[in-house]
Amino acid sequence: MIVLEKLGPFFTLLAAAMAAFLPGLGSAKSVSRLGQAINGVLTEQPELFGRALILQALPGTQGIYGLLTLFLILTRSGLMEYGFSADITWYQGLLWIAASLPNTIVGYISAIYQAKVCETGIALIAKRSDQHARVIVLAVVVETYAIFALLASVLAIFSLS
Amino acid sequence: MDKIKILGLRKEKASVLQFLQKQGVVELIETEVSESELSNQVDESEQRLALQAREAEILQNQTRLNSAIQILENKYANVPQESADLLISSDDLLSVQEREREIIELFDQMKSAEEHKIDLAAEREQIQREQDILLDWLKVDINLEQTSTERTLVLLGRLEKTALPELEQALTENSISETAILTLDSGETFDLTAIVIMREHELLINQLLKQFDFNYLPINKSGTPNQIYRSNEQKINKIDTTVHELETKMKSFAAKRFDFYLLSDYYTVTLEYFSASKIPVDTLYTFSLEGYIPRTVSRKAEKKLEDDFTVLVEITELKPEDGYPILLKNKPFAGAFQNVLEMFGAPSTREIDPTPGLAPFMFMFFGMMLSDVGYGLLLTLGCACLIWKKKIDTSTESGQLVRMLFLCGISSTLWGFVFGGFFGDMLTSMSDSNINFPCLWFNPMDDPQKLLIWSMIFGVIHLFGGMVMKIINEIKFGKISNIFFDIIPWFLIIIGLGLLFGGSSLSMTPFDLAEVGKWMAIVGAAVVLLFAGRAKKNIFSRLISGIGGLYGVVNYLGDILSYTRVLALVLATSVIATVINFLASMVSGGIIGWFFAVVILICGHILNLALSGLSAYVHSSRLQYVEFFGQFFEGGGWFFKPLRYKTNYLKIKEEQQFKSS
Repeated sequence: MIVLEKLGPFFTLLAAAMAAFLPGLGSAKSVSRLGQAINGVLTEQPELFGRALILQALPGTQGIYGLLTLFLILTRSGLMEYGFSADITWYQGLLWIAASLPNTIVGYISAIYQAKVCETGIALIAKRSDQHARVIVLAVVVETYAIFALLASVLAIFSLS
Repeated sequence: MDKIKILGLRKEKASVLQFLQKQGVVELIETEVSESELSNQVDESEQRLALQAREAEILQNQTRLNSAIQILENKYANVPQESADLLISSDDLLSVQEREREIIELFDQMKSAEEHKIDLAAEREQIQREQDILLDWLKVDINLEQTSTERTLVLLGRLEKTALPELEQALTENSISETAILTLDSGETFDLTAIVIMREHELLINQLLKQFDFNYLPINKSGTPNQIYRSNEQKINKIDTTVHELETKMKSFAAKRFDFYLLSDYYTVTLEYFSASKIPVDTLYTFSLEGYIPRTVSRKAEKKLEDDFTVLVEITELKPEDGYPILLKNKPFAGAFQNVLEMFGAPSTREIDPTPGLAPFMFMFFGMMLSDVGYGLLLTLGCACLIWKKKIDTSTESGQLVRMLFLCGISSTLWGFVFGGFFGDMLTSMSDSNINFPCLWFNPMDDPQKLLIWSMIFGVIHLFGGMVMKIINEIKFGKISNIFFDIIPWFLIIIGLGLLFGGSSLSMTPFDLAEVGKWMAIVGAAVVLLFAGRAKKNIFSRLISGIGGLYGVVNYLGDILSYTRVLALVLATSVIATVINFLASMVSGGIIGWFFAVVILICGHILNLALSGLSAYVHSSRLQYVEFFGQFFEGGGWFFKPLRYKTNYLKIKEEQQFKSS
């Protein structure tokens, strides 16, 4: 129990780290997959680069939301200010983990699902480049849930501090 | 929108079509030709073949021309053009036909110059590689070509100094003693050696040398290394002068790239004319065609056509039920947001143009989501520079987008003042909390719950806007009863529920707002329950439809919750900006520290502006498409695409005699 009592800052840091690395992982995976698909299209139609780049950037936002959550947890928990001497109990730490979960999990998964929409979208704009804008909107519908998850985490973080 | 029918003499067909293309006000209708009409059509295979051949020629030339333009624009973009004015009259465009040969010739010269340049560059690189190797051999005074006699071979190359004794030992081990290793010159770590061997040992020794990393001299020219080096130097000089000449030549072509633009655009226009000329139905002496024409110009066009040509023109006024293409007409502010609608699709002919309703909300939500004085000003200034300094054509798709972003930037600046954001919290963080950027309302970072409620309230206003559009549509369709049974009750229910749950906190009136809200919601719900299924005769199925109608409250709830994304995006923009400022303030201090801080600030904030701007654009568009249009939009129309001069590089002066006034 004595060990557990000292784990508050650890749990908090874990919450922040998870919020950053899992969505970041999802974004990296998606962005890389899209990059490969785009390279294929560019061999035939190099003029599509600008449009394709925007599509590639879309599933990258989840990683940014993760960073945002990390920052909010670090500042709101006082970890950034007080570091090792931060006064956080172990159950407070567990609460931080719970608060970071929506963004952590949904961010990771939605990035990958969004990449699937973007990937077929790239195949579409390779044939009809005028449909570019609609492809973006369709991909953004998926991102809606990453945003809601971010909102859930942010509200939880604000209500904890 | 009117329908125009033209019946004319066949010999005038080409000039009538060219006239229409110049005016750019008629969209031709492709009519399906029936069997009997088809047999009336004259056999004109010869003419048609000639036309096809010309079309193929143009297509081919145009592809080559465009690739040439790309080369010139990529490599010589800053060469000033002879005629910088990209605005030309349509007559100038058509008269380029006479110079077609000449321009094609110019293009061929440019192409061969470019190819010659590439070849020379490759040759120069090869010689340069030889030079690099020869540098080590300059002091060696033997003819490189004479490397063999009848029975012996001379292998020239570089050998590591450490490898020499090992090689000698290996040679004796393999009992090849009739070999001489001569050191011609030595560098720091290697010797330049000539190995004289018997021809019969060639294979074995080559294998051995490979083991010891013997670096063969790959040059086999006559003369000593020194002589070869000199002659190579001369060659390189010669190539350099030729390349320089070619470069000036290319620059002179680049200065004339206006001609290439002109011809390429002429081809585009001609191709469109060709495909249009296939639409009219021909008989032996006449042709007939049908098209759509905006009502504002139809009478003038009729008169002009009948005056200038031997044609019969018939104008019929179209009613919304007939279906015709959509030509949007909006005031400047709303018009800037027209491309948001164009991206989604055209409304049907019966309903109201959604642009005026959509524009203020797009303006508001984009601004809220970005909400930063710094970013807003950057966006506005950037777009203003594109519009007024670079003279970007605002009639094109990208030009319209720039115009919209210009307005959105203003909105972001205003909201930035409201929420107190200037590059996030740059002033606070850089001045160690001595200066705070003022905020007019409240800072979302301090009170996110407040913004959560407000973003839903703005969402409700947006949805009500959509419902008002629906009311206007129902009036247009003549279905007044729908307004009272399907739309007004929902106003009551949503406002009522809002007051019921939120009214108690607004205790500024003597009334009990929650009580008022309760009764509003009950009345609204009762109307929906009783009248949603009013088309049904049976009382029970009518009630069941009513319950189904009440289920719509879930849809509205989902729509309203969808607006909470506004809060998330506001926080995303300001938190990322805060992180950037935080990083910059960590490194700041001292000259070097401040240098890095400024680099971090500039790169970081530009990146954040790009990402947050993109998010604000796509998410405010989405709120229009799904939540706003979901209330009323029917769609199913198509946009007006007249036969006109559609150019890629140049802009045609507007000189239509009867452009809509």
